[in-house]
Amino acid sequence: MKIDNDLLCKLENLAALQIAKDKRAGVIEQLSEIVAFVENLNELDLDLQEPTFTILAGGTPLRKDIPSTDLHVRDTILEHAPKRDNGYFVVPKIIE
Amino acid sequence: MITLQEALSLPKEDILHIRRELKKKIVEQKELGAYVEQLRDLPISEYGEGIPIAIKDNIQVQNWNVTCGSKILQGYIAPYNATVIDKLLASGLAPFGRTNMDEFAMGSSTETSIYGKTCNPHNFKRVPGGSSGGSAAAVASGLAIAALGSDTGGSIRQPAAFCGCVGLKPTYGKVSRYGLGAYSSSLDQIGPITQNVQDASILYDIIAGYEPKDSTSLNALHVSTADKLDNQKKQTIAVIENYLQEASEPVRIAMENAIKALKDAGHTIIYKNLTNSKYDIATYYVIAAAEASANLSRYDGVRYGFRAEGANLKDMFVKTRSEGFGEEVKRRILLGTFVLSSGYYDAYYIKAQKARHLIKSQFEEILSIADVIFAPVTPSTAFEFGAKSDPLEMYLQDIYTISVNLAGLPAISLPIGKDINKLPIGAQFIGPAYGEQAILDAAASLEKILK
Repeated sequence: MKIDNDLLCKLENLAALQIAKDKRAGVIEQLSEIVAFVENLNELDLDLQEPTFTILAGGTPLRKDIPSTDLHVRDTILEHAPKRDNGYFVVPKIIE
Repeated sequence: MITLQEALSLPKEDILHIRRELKKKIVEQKELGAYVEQLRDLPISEYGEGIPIAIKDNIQVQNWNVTCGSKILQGYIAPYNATVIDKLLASGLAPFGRTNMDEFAMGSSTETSIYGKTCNPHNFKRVPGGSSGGSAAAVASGLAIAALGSDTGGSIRQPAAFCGCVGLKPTYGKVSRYGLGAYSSSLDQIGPITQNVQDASILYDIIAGYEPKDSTSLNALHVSTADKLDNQKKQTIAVIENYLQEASEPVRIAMENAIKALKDAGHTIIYKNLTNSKYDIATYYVIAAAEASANLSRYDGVRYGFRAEGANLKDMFVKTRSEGFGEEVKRRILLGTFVLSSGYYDAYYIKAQKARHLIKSQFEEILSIADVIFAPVTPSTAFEFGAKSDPLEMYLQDIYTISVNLAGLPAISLPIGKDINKLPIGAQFIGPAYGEQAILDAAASLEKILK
């Protein structure tokens, strides 16, 4: 599997990231090298293995959906947020 | 440096004195760069007045600027304590200083930190290992009594090996991850980095136990290990022969000496093989990158940390993340996005999950006939700064540590010798799930023989 510029553009879009112009060739080469290494897995016979994995026997437990609000957490986060106003986070205008 | 065991018996005035002395030494030896405060000329971060424990920069301490070694978390103030921090405080210990780390724990040398480099205390031209390089360097240089780190693919054991200290990666689910900056949630565990095995056992007992805020926390009473630590217990130890043969000569020789010493001390040695470690690396980089790409999607510049200005919301997201994350973090997010994306998911992600089953079952097979496994921690001793500039070459540093995380098992790294350049060599004992006592006993036995 070769990563090319089109695929990189698609991944950047999905990940909300942009690789600088002068770094693109290097990133494409490194990702291709890593993906080629990952393809070593094709040598293993994995047909009989389960496709999902959990470390915990029985999987993660479910719990009751009980609301919990720690005002201190809310206030500390808001106080140090990049931009805030009156208990809200401020972001660039979404609708013109 | 006084041990944690000794510190626990001291009166409060003596602890306050140790804290003052430590602060002085941390400033005097700031070229080491073990603490973020040393690299940034800041006063040491404190919380309470207990026995000082150095804390990796990805564990939440209330009101500390906890940043995972990243630009994107500059300005973030932790609003609460991680569970492990509350547990330290409840036992008379206290977080003291933020230790340097690879950005978001993605690295094996602590070179990807935004704060600059941490030196190996044994040779300042060499890396301390990573990602918990600051924690290991602080303990090894006498600038910390003990430290907490986190281990996703070897990030406690490898720096402990490079710096010549003891590092314990607990069984997945034994220590709450609540308050740990998430990298790969199915692999991450917090654990101690200490001067000796006894201290690792003590600190592990303090931080372990069920906690409902981490849904993967094991719901069982913690059985203490430190009071039962037995360096005379004879065990069946499985040596991974193919790992031994692949390792560099100094590591192999030190391992062979340790194996002979274990045998002479009455342990039963058997030899086993594990599948070529290239499959472990391949599996790990798919799973860890996939989970990282999901975990790190929270960093968008809206609620905390760094924000870059953008023309609109999407532009702000992209600029914030592109400027805020370093190269290695971006690479892993892109790789994780790739293996989870439509068209590639089955061929990469599902395949890696299947391989993970295979890796786990191989360990289970060996541990059904042996009490513990004995293996190298690193292929070589600490390398020089800049020596591993190719990402894949850096990933291959983790060949002996990564499978333990994939299988969720406990492992402890301890020093077993030095190479001709006086650089420490480490080895690890790997145990069955929740078998911390067995690996601590084995490590205590080897530590005593080698003294």
